[in-house]
Order: sequence, then C-alpha cells, then structure tokens
Amino acid sequence: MTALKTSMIICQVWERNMKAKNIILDGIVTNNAIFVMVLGMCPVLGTTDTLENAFWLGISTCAVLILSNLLISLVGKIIPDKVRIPCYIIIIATLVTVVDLALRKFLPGIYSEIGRFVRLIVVNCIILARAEAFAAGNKPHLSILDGFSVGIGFFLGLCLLGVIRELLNAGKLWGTTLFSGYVGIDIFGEAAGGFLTLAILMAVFNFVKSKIEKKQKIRQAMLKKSMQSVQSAGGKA
Amino acid sequence: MKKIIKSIAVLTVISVVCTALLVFANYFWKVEELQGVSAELLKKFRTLVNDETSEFIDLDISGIEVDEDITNVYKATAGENSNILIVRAKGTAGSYGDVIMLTAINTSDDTVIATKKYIDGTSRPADINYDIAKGLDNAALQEIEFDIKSGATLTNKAAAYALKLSMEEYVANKEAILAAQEKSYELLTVNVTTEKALEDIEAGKSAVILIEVISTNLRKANPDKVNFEFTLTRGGKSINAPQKVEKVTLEDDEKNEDNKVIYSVTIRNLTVEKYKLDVKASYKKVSASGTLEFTPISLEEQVIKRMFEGTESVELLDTDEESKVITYKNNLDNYVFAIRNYDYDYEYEGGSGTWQTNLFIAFDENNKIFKIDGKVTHSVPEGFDLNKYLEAFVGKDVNDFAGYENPDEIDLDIISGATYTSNAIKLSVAKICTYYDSIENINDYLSGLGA
Repeated sequence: MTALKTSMIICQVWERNMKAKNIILDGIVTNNAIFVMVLGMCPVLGTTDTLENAFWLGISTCAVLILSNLLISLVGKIIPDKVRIPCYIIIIATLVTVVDLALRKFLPGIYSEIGRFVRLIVVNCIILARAEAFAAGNKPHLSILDGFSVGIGFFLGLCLLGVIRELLNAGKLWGTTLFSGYVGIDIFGEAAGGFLTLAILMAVFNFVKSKIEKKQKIRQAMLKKSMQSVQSAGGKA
Repeated sequence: MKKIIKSIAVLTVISVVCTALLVFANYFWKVEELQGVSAELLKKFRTLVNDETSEFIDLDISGIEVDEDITNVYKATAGENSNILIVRAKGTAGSYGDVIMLTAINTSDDTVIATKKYIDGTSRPADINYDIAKGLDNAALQEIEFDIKSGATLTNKAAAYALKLSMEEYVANKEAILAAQEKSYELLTVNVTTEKALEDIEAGKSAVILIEVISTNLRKANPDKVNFEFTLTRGGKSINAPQKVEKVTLEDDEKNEDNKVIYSVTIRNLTVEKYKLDVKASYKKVSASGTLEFTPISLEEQVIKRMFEGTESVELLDTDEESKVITYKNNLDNYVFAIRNYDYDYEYEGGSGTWQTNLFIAFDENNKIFKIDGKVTHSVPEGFDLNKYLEAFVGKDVNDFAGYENPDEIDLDIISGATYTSNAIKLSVAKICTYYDSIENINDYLSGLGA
C-alpha cells in the first residue's frame, strides 16, 4: 500500500512538474513570441542591431510581462468582463512607465537608444495576450512562471538576433570588436537585415522545434502507458 | 445597474492604485532634463574618443570670438586622456541643409583624434573618409583634399568645411577656449548692477539699480513675468526695500537674443553707509537671486580723494554762513575750501533751468590756487571738459578772483557753447577766493578751527 501511495504522489508531483515544464517550454520554444507567434515585430527589428540594445529591451519586456501577469492573475477575478481590457491596459501602461523611468534613471545611455521601444511595450501584443489568455484564469505562481517563460523566450530571441546582426554588421559583440579589419555588411544594421536574419532564424527554429515535438510526443505516449499500467495495478490491488 | 457600478468602481480603484504607483516611482526616479552633455551625446563622444570612461562638460564660449558655425566646445574632465576638446561645428550644404560635425582634438599636441558626422540634415547623406584627418595638425589638415563622392558633393563639402573650421578656430583661440568655464544652465539668472559706476554713487542722491533677468528657457522661466522680493540693509540694519519696479525698454534684437529683461528700482536719500540689496526673482517654481553691495561716497570725499592721493577721510571744519564757503580737512592735513551746490540759471535753444556747481580749491603757501576740482550738473555741450577748463585756474593768485562779482570782469576765457557754466565756475572760484582773502591769518584761522 505504501509503495502504491508513494507512486501516486510521485505521479502527482510529476504531473505538476510536467505542467510547470510545459509552461516553460511553451513560452520559450513551443509558442515562442518571436519565432512562432511572430509578435512584437516592431521592437524586434528596431532594437536588435546591437546585442546590448536587444538585451536591455528583452529584460524590460520580461520584467513587464512577469509583473503584469502577476497583478492580473491577482485581480483578474474581480474585474468585470466589460472593463477587462481597459483595466489590463492601465496595469500594463503603469508597469511600462515604471520600467521606463527606471531605465532612464539608471541606464541613460541605453535609454537614449531604446527608449522609444520601451514605451511601445504598452501595445506589445505579447503582454496583453498573456494577460488575457493565461494570467486572468490562472494562479499567481503559474502566471509568474508563464510571464517568465514567455519573457525569456522573447529575450533569447532578441539576443540571438542582436548577436548575429551586430557581428555581421560591425564585427562586434556588445560594442567590443571581435574581428578587427572586418568590413561590415551594412544591411544587417538596417531593418531589411533584421527581416532577413529573422526569416532564417525562424526557419531554423521551426525545423528544430518540429524535431523536438516529435520526440516529446513519443515521450508522452510512453508516459501515458506507464501511468495506465500503474493505475491498473492499483485497481487490481 | 449593479454591474455598471461595479465596473466603474473596479476601474476607478485600479486607476487610483496605478496612479499612486506612478507618483511613487516618479518621485524617486524622475530624471531632470539633461542639458549640455546629454546621455546620447556622451555616448557619441565616448565612441569618438574610444574611451567608455570619459566624461565631458560643455564650455561657455560666448565671450570668445569664434566663428558662428562653431556652436559648442566640450572639454574632457575624466577618462584615459583628459587633454581632449570636442568641437561641434556646422557646415551648410546649400539648400540641402546642415551637417553637424564633431571633432575630437588632442590639446597636448593639437592634433585631430577623430571626427564624426553627428547630424546630417541634408537629403543626400553620404560619408567621406574622415580617418585621413586623424593625427593631423591644423596646417596639415587645411591642406587635405577629401575624397568627395559624387551624388552628395555639397553634403561632403559641408562636412569637410566644418571639420577644417573646428581645427582652425581651436588653434586660433586655444588659450581662451581652455580657460573657458563650464556653461551655466540655470533657467533664470539675476544680475544686479547700478546705472552709474559704483564709485560714482553719491551720498545724498539716489541710486538707480538695474536688475537684469536672463532666462534660458522662456517656457519654464519667463523673465517678462517674474515677481521680485527685495531685502535692503543699510549699515547692517534692515530698511524699507524699494517697491516700485520699472521695466527698462530694450532694443528688440537684444531682447530676442538673450531672453533677458532689465528692471530698475531706485534707492533714494543715500547716506555714507554700506548698502546691501538682495534681489530674488521668481517665476512659478523657478527662482534666482542676485546681490549688490555698495557704499555711497560723499562728493567732498570723492573730490578730495581725487585731489590728494592717499586721502582716506575728510572732515568738515567750518561753514561760513555769509559766503557759504565750506572748509574741509583730510587725514593728510590738506585744507580745501569749497562752494557746494551753487545754483545758476541757464537758457539755450533747447530749454532753460537751473544747474549747480560744486568747486573745491586748495591754496598753496603763496596764496595761489594749488589744486582745483569739482563737479557741475552742466550737461551741454557734450564736449565740455570740466577738468580741462579748471586747469586754467591752477597757479592763479587769490587776488585774480577775490572781490569779483561779475564774471565778465575776470580775466579768463569762457568755453564757447558753455557760457553759463563757464561764468558760474568763474563766480564760484571768485566766491571761494574772496572768502579766503578775507581771512587775515590763515594759520590762526585754521588753528582756531581746531585743526
């Protein structure tokens, strides 16, 4: 009996962990905001000409996403449907303004480069979409996790684009010259280069993702089988 | 109905909470508008000099005669090399617009460190190879022919012009630029001065105080609409401050150029004590202060100091009731006889009225005029030189003037165009000489005065 109870608890923890794992994977890989959902394209193309800009915009977006998910999951149930969207927008706009003020105060150099995109986070579809689709109907800890995973997915996507574009455009990384004498490819510093890089990365990402998903399906099928066998063993006992 | 009320209530509560959060964040993290070297500009500078630790200040070059296309000069204050100036210069590409160039100069060897296009306002932007300017001094730079690309000839020429101009003006004004102070970005500045020179402010008269209010941002600090607070002390004691503030009319050009307004206040009945006027000008939450200190000087002190070098104090010994001649003595034991505020009438085509003479005479042992000085309120003609006219009296004997009551009888020329004044001076001298001559024994007289 004790062994059975222990196996049941392990299954539940496993199930919970799977849920958390799924949330993380969903935000970073399965429904990556940039490469799968193709959201927030304005800052993606505007700020990824250097890794530094991409990094700080990613951090800012991630911070707003986590905090907005947390707040909306806390107050979501008391907000009437009719004023749902205005309330979300007020909360998101407030958080964006706070991040904007903090950036301007503590990182003025970066702010002068990405300030206009930081303000645009208010209308970033990712934030509102996660608030509406996830945070409003889930518990705070899961909402934080969702915000974190989607934010990190967005952040990593921006950084990847930033690395490639800065290297190809200027032979630099975070402002440091890596290849002296490198003649940059100017187009990667422009929006057109951003589109090109994004398209290539998107193709690669989706190819890899489909491979991973196949493996996941096989794993899930195996897990289902083992769960069924445990349950049937419990029934016999 | 309940649902609507609930919706409004929830929306209101969320709005209020969010507003409170914003007020809180704004209180702690609000950044004052950067002036001078902004963060964006600093980043450009650091890239230009290839030093992420460098810091710069904007120099006040308003007093230096640099070309008007040189808009700013920035000086390094920190970093790997602080012997750096960055000159911001403008080049005009005809009707296409302006190009703003930043040129970093090493002040220790007067060579170009680097140069970069900062703003290209032309519709045909194109880059030329600025790297060839690196390490060159002014003479070498002026000789360089930049490789001008076709299609953007004017833009590139404007950029090359701005670069060469930066170096040329730097070399021509190096000392003055390096000595320049950091530019002030006070929204409001108050300068308090006087209409006359401080040493000419006389006791017994009024002093017109000029208050110059200068704004660097008309929206935030309008010098035309400031309120004043005055604090006036005399001899360390608080007295009634002037109340009536008048605006001094400026030429339009001057006003537009400097965003300044000049006001005036008058302090009346001055005495020989130290005055201190504190002026505070306020516009909404912006305010600025200025202070002026002065000690009015009595006319006798002013004149006798001029007559006898080393005079520190002047004492009034006697006033003759009949002739109104006053006897003064200074700390060097020099005796001076004076006529104060001797009125004389004038008439000329422009008008008529009354002026006054104030004459001070020192006699030598031989009863000759040794020194003569004074002040007249005479104002026409402009070319009248009192000191020059008074020189004619020096060395003359007391008897040349004593007893005369008609100026025409006195054998001394008058100044053409200043007949009334010349005659009044002659008569004043005659009055002093008459009084001096009437004293039988000058030494007894002076000792009788306690001298």
